[in-house]
Amino acid sequence: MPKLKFKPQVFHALFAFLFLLFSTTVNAQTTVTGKVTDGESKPLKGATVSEKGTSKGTVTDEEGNFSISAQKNATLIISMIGFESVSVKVGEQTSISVQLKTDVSHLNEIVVTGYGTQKRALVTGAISTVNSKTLNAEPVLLVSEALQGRVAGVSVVNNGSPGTAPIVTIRGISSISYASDPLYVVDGFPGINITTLDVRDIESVDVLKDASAAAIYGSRATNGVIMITTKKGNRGGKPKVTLDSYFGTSVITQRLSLMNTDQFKQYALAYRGSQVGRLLPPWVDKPIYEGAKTTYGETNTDWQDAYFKNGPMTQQNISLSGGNDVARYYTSFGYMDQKGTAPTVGYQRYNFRVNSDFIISKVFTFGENLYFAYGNQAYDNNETGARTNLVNVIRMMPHMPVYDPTTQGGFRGVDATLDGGDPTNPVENAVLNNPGSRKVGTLFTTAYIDVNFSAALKFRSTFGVNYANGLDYRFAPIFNDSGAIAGSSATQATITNNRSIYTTTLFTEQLTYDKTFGKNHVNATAVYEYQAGNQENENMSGNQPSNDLKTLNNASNPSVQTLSYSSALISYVGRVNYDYMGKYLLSAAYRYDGLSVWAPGHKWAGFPSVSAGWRVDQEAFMQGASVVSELKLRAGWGETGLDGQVLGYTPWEVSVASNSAQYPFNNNLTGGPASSIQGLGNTDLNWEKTDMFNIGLDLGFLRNKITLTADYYQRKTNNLILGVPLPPSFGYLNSIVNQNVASMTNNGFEMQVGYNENSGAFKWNANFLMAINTNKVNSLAPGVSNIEAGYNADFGNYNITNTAAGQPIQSFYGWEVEGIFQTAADVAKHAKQNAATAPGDLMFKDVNGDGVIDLNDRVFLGSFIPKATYSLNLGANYKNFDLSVFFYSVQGNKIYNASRVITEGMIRFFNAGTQVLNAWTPTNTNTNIPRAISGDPNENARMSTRFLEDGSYFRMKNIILAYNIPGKTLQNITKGVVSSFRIYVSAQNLLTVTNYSGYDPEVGNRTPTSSLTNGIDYAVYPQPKSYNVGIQASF
Amino acid sequence: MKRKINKLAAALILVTIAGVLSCNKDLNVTDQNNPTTESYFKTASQLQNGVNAIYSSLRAGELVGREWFFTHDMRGAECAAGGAQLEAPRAELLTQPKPNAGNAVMTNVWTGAYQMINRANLILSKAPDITDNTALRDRLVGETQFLRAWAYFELVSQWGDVPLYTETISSATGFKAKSPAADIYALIISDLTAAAAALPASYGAGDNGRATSGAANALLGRVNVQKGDYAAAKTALLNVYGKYSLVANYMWNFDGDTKNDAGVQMTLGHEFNSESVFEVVFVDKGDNNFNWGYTGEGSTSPLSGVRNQEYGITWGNVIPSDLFLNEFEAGDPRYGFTIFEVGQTILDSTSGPLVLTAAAMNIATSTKGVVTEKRFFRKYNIYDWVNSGFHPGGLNTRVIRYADVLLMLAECEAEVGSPAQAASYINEVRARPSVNMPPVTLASHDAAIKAVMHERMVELGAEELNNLDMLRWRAKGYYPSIAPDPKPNQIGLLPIPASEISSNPLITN
Repeated sequence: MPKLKFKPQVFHALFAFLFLLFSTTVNAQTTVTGKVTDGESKPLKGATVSEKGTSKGTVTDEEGNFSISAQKNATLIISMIGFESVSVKVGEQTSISVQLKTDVSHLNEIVVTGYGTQKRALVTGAISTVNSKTLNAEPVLLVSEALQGRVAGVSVVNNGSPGTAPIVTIRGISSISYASDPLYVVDGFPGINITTLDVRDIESVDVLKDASAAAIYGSRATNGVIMITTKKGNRGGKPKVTLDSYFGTSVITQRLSLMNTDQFKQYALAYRGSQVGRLLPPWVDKPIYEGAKTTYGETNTDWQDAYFKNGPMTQQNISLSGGNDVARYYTSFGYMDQKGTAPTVGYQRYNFRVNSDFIISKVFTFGENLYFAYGNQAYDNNETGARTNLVNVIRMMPHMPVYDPTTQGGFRGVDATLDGGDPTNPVENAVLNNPGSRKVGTLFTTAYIDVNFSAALKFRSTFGVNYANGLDYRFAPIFNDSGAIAGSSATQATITNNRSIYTTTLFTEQLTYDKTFGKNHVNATAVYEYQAGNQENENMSGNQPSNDLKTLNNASNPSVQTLSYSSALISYVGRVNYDYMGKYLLSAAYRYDGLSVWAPGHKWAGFPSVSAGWRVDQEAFMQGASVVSELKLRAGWGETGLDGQVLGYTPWEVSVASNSAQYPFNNNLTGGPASSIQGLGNTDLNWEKTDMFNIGLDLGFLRNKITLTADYYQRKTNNLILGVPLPPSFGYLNSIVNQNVASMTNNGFEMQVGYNENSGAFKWNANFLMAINTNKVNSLAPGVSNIEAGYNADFGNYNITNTAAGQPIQSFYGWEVEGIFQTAADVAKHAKQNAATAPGDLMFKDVNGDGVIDLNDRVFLGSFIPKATYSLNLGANYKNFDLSVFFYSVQGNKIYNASRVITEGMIRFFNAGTQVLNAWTPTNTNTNIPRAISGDPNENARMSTRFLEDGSYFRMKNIILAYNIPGKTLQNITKGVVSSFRIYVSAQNLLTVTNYSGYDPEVGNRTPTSSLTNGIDYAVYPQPKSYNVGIQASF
Repeated sequence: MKRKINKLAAALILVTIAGVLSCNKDLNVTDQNNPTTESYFKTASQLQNGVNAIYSSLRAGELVGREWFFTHDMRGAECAAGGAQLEAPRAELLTQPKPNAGNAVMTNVWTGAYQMINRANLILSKAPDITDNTALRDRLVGETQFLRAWAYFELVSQWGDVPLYTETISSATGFKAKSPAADIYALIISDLTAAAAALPASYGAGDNGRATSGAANALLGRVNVQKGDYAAAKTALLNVYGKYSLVANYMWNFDGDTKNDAGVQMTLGHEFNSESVFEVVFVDKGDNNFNWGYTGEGSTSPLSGVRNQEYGITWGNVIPSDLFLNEFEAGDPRYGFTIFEVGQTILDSTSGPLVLTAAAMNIATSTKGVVTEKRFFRKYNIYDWVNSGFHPGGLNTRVIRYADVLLMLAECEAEVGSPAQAASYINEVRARPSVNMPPVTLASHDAAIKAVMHERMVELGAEELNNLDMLRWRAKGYYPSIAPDPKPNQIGLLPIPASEISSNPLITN
């Protein structure tokens, strides 16, 4: 029998007719049956059918059918998540067919708010939701990477090789001393490390951006809360198998212009006045190693090509889900393997998940989530040091070979005397000397029991355990690369074997009361929560006399350390949501947290929040407005804290570092154990507390074909913890003491505009996001005028950032370049720089006009914080094809390109960028590169405007083209086994438009645990381009 | 049904209350991995570990392990840059009349010295309550006073007025302003006087390296010389005179335990010898590594010094200055003991001679007389035993040796005694068997000072004394009245480090 197909308009007309016809009939109980279908007339299972004003209700079955007994004058409300609700007067009908329209506005979308859910329409805070489809649009390892550009106000900056967590900040940096990581709550479990989560298992991510929403997590919510909900099975469906699989590769195509051997020779003469020994007879004509066919003079190694490599990647996820009225389940297996674009690095993960719940009776429901992941990150231990391997790639001399089969280990190192400097072979460093692996087995599980005392009163008790057992292992072999610099050889193998075990347990006892009294609706929640953390570390190292022995069995020079830490957080939470006719919304919450981290007497604090909303579109005067389909105003205020655990376990306490050092009296290695007190404590330490105010607007036009959400916020933190620098004369090794002293404000504006064209063969949508954030430090500690950071002798011998009142956090700070001295007379008439200043040196501005260029002439030069970030996601559907393009852009930020200190700073002699060939000489005066002079006596490479660049970029972050095999074809080919099949190709970071001259304008933070060195490019792992092909199929 | 539910609810609430009550005490967490400040420093043995920590600061990279010798040698006149490889802050000390306040090298010395002082102040505050071994306790107090005095002398002699702390700081606002140099000297002198009385003249072998009464008196002499109180200096130095003796071989003052790159012991050297009054101990563990952490921390960390590497021919950061090379009298054997030149052979003592070629030496040339060629310091180097691209050494730094005591006595005699007596002390030094230089005869104050200047440079060159000598003699006007200023225009005192000024509201430069 062919299925009947109604066009919606026809249906509506019919419905209106029926409505008119039966609206006046008398009250009598009758049984109404019916069928609920979606826009394509497919049956909708699980739709709720309830009689208005009563507690009666049912849900539709597999075929979308329902049966309910109702009074004749009753109104039935048919609703389902993701669809617009429909009201039907029963009247004389006994059979009703209802077609639900997809809800474009997502007003009925359920938002996860923490200890509960709420309809989008009733939300008063700033909460953004990202669904599974968007999360999986790009091939990413971590859910945080998938959020880049997806939520206005959420900044994600990638920061290293595969498996390294990006820097995520929500609504700006709110702490000076600590990373501004948001709190991740996975299936109700706060404080989860999301590195091991499989993105394919995630149903949705809800970002609680403002304090009124986030404050429910109180002392940990200052940086926003990211609620992650994993998938559940569908009730009443057949078991569904989904396969999601892709293969791809990533590649670094950017290259710096570095000198070749001929250019290096030219530079050596200019800089040192003499050729390096290796490029003079007799060496220049010697083979690069015994038996080699090329000589040093003929060798021309491109160290960038030698170092960068293609990074193949693959990810597979297969899941099985289903359920019935009693039980639901979702189970999956995932595998991913991504090799980095530099030697050694990569990340591999296996993961398993079982989510299920069981309705045991009307009263009891039991559910559990069980997740196991095994991750193995291969890392380069020199990725984040001062002289990263990329620094060595720049510095390594082109006349040197990468490999040398005659050496022990097979690589070749430089001889500082012959080659003129002491870079380390970056490939050797990564492959032979510094590879390590971090293997982490994570078991993350929660179980809960729901007790429904009545329709209104529910109780949930949750127990969860998050257990991670990690092994960080490194093997540094015996080798000798024939070089003559530090680290050219090792006569014994060194094994490092560090184990860490983290156990977090969670108990949550939650009581929820939800009831409608006439036009008043109240939802109240009370929670008691206890979370305990435990950390055990075992750090071991030792030596072996052979490269065959890779364990510490009978190792020599063993070094052993074990450490144990524990923490506890106890919380009481109360929240009331109230609405009047779904029109006036009010919400208030209070959380009272006790944390073991603080000193006695300071362990407890309260975190309140209130918010209100007005759904203007529900007012009578708006009913006639056909253009505006949604209008809601929101305002909220709340107070949140920065998780005290970022400070460690007992940050207020000073202990004795006993036997932590030694002095070898009489040359005796065990002679003089040394104990000391290394810092000052502060028993007054307490949470950094942020007050945040948010006003927002949700607008929809033309039946929400066009939507707009805009928010303005102000975040103010008055008791930021600052490591207040102690004068060196205090004589403590820890040169700072933490105090709650500083204050900082973030102001911001966010906007999200969406357009959806859902009808016609060509469907398309566009989603535009914009976020503006300004940061200002209001005050530092008494006596602390500023905090400088970023010093590194290799990168110019001065601090790079300065944090001071009235300026954005960690603003760039240095001298202003005015030009190049052309003559000795120029030098003489300019303010005095130093005794060695000569023509060809940079002229720095005498800001204070005292005739001397010194530290006091440094000025603020800008901030790493973008003036604005934008993203634009365009999606289009035509027949069986869909295309989506995702652009991401940051504008108005500065980057200190410290890697140029290496390529053109000429502080010390190494290979460098070709720019140095254009250095000033008496005959090459029209240049902005100062003279090549041994030792850089004028400090031309000091922190100045010279290496400060505009960091704006516009990037095609992702493009994906997919083909969905039509249902009919699929049916024919696979005889109904395969229900959907999608094949796609995608590319990431395909196009980047920027004036930035380094590898990559997406510059993170070399020390991500602090906030003061963002936006400094010390030559770190760049973002690759990647290309993928994948399929998504279900059976 | 309803009853059942109520029962269950009651049970759950009870469980919750029980949980709340039992959990609250879990908030009381303290450091589980270290002793507390209340429980430690209660016994003489713990006090000794605390004193050892002052020594570990002394040998750390911030001080004698690295930046201390750089600060002195770069400010002195005996060294020059080995080439462009000399890092900027070191080159700044070497070439600029006045380093900027942010200079990291001198800042490290400042920081390291105050770490010693703070640790010493802690010991001095804890000691009175220790009763389990009062003899050990009193000796440890003496060592502590010596070390605190050494650290304050580094500060006062190079920076002048500096903050004076005599108690550990317990509050983040316990700032101190600068105290007059005279007050600093007063504390140093009282510390050293007390230490000289409390300390033994020598130790059992296991404690070699600890401060002795001789070290305290010798340092007291040096302090008083620098302060200009030659009479007091003479008194203190005469307490040392005759208690030590010059070693026969001049080079035994600069050797020490040395392994090759494979970890094989090449020599034990002649550390803790009869000429050594106080030395800072380093050990070559054969690990080819240096404690780059700089603070001396790490119970299994490398124990080497990096000087031989810095002044060697691979890094080649520092070479002898022309002024220094030309100071040697013709035929002074100390020139050959102090300097290696291209064409000379190294490794004579071990694997066999290796002739130095210019190509193998990553250093600039220097000029002695009319000869310009590559030269580097043999003193405190390991090239007699090991030629390695990278090999921090185990040579102990002789901070005070008897030859210095004799030359300080000579200077005291020149200033407040007789030129003849000054000559006699100088001649003791010149008569060392391996040196055997002809005696000098001195007739005037200026001649005696000039002779002291010469003899200190050739005998004690690059031993971190020239910087202080220059500061002292410049202040007395001996440049130019007796000799030309080796570094004209050089600012006498170092600026207070920027990190101190920015964090201590009571201090400005």
